[in-house]
Amino acid sequence: MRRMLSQRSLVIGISLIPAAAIVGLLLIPIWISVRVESEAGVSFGLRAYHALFSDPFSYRTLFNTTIFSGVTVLTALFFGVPAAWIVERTDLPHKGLSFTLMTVGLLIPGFLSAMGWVFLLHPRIGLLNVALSSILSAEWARINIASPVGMGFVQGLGLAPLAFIMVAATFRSTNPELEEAAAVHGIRLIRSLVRVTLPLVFPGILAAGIYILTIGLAAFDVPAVIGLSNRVFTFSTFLYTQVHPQEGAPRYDLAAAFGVFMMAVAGLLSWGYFRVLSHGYRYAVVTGRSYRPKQVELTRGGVWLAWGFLGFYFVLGQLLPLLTLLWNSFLRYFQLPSAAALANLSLVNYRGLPWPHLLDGLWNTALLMISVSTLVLLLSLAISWIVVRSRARGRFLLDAVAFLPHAVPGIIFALSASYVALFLLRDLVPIYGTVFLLMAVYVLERTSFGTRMLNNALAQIHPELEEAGQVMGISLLRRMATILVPLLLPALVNGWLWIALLTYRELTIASLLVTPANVTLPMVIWGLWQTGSFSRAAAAATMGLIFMLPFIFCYWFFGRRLAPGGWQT
Amino acid sequence: MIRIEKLNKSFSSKSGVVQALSEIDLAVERGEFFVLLGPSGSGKTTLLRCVAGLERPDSGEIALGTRIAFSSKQRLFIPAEEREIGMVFQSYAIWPHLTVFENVALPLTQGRRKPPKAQVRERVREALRLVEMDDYADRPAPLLSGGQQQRVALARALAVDPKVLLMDEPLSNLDARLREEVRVKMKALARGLGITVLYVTHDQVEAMMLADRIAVMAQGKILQAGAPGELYRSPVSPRVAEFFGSMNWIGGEVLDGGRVRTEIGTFELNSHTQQSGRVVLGIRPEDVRLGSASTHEANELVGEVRSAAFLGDQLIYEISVQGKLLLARTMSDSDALRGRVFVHFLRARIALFPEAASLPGAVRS
Repeated sequence: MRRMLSQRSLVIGISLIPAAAIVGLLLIPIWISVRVESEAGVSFGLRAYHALFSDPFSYRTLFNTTIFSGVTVLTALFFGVPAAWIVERTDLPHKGLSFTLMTVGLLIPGFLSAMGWVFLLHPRIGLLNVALSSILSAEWARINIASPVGMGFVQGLGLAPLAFIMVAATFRSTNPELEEAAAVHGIRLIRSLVRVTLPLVFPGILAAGIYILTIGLAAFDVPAVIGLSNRVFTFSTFLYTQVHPQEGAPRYDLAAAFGVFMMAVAGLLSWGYFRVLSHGYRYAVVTGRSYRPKQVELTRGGVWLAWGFLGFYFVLGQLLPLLTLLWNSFLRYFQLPSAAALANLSLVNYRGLPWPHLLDGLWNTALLMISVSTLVLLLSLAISWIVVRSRARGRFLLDAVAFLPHAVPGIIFALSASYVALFLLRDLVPIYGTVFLLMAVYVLERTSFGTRMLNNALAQIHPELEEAGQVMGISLLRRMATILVPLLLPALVNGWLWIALLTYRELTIASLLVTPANVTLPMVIWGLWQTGSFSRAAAAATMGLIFMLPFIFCYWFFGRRLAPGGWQT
Repeated sequence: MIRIEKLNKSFSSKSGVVQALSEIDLAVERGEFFVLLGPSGSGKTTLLRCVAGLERPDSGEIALGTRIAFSSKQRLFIPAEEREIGMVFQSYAIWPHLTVFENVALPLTQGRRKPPKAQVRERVREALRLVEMDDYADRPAPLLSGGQQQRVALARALAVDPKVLLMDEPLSNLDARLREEVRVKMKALARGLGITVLYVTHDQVEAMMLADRIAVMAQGKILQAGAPGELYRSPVSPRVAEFFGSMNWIGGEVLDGGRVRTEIGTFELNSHTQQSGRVVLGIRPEDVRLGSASTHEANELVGEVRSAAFLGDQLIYEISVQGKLLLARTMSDSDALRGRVFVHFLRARIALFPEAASLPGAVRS
């Protein structure tokens, strides 16, 4: 009997480790922000907040962040919502292809597209800008991508797949009979779209908007690639420069104060998100899934329009930036595609890559992908089991804590972790500059995804399947191994691959925690970019994409099918 | 074999605390087939799960055989894993990732009551033979029909050689015809093995067919426990009486120890009653005899046939006696009666309850 109780305690204990770490990492910025160090010693006060909110630069950053995330949401919804309607509610053939066009972008790291867009729309040398201004022979035709609006557009293109998936899910769960009633009673399509369909899916669109806004506010990749070198800062890059300033000492206090402010904003947005979601269920279908809603029949022109729209997104969102990246990786300097340029193509950028460094990054990244995915699933299984299956007191609090890393910008976790590793644990556990520090923070960050996924998966497994093992004498850990894990296997494989993909592209947390000793592949690419070696960065990025291809294929053709709806960042 | 004393269990929900079990006392003999019968929400499944160790009671004591499984006084709770029971779940809980054989074998290879490895195969085969599933040993679980799943669940529960077999509505997911067939086989199997069974159902026909004894539960309490015939013929309350089939309820007043005056006439009882004042008199439809000629016995009234429904082997009449509608059930071998009839109430079958004990709706019917 004692052995039994200890197995349950063991699972609870395992689930409490990440929960405690998450709470700790979120409390530390508050502590840093009110800690005032002076010659007289350490005291506590609001000096950092005064400094932050009396500096116009802070307001400039806030303004940029707002514009940036606003444009992100609008761009994502502009492409995502119509695409969702086309795929879910019209009779457009080849649903698989249209789905692929809209979602394959989720697998491409955001900083790669951002690099491609710089090559396309750099104010001076961007390919499109050069082409546009020469065609129109006007300087005003140049588009500046290095602005909050430009960066928001690129970020929005990257998040359109997410908007598409979320809104498509809303369309799928909205009772089609409500729309059919409009059709039967003689309301024409356009009018029915505006008066019936749109209000019905509005809660879903709003929820997707808030969700994307949260991601936009925290976004690091795109502002880091496009904005940083042009001194256009948003929240995450502001934090980065405070901790890694080009001159002077790091200002952890300012960064922490801004971080605390953004945590409050993120908390508010999450609250709004869940409120909207709970309202949205009013319109959900109650009938079985077998029901196939009547689809809008597209005319010939409509079919062309629909494919045109989906294709336009695909070209703009993925194809154009990635091809530009590839093109530039073979050129010493920016050139428009031409016969002359073709003759200049060479592998010189590839030969010039810092290969040992790159391979170090690749090795660390591979190590992280394997270890982080595995650890996240182990911890998430423990947490989700406590939350869904046990009747332990406080399990809902545990669930909420596990969700926090999803709501709070990742760079805040990185800030806390770097502070802890540098100043609090330096002598005790010399973890700074090791791959283990990255591993720990990545795991905490992804546990929110792991628990969301496993909560859902566990809820779909009848509790009696586990109880049957229990009454017939199978202990908890053995039940997990012989009953739960095999039944959860599809979800676990899907989650493992997805977490590995997210780990592969992770730049936000790495930006604050990586040193030459624990460099990751995205950091190698970004490092080259930051030092102005654009073409070599493009070559490194191409290499990175090539390394990643097997994984992308694995996920696309295998993992994705195992647990539909497993998409989330 | 199972002894339960003063068992209490409450759940806290959004709407407050629900007392799922209150002060339950129960004793099940070795080899007995014992059925817990009650409507949903009566606490029968909670009681079963407390015996299994899947729920932890608030207070009281449960003993399985000579071993205390739960005691609030001794602060003792043996977890389900160590209680040496077998259980058939309502959903059958057949593990879908395993074959029939593997389903039965898993508790024997992974559980706490592991037999020697060499015996596992034989034990599984034996259990499958008992439920006539030995030909399906290698079939993957998802390919089984409902009835086959139920049999595998039973085999799995029997293979661990349990002290007590618990079953939670094991037939409710089967269609009516299969249910009847399985009932007969299950009873014979339990008899043959001499195993102690605690069985939960909401179906009184099932309970009466299977049980040596039945406990009728409602709102977390045991209303009455006894052999099926005892519950049917001598219910302790209108509530128990109604559970085993329809009843005619007639309100009245005790005149002296042997007679009751009611709204439709005066009835003579078989024996003296201790009750006095307002009472409710109950009689089952089959104990209301109809005839076109008078029997010249006591407890005969005159009524009028309002409707007659033909149910194959029986006829159900709706009779109006002085404006009160009563049900009567007869065999269908005679022609249906019409018009004026003599209504004879079998004296020995009249049940009497104090009016306070009756259900709100019972008297009106």
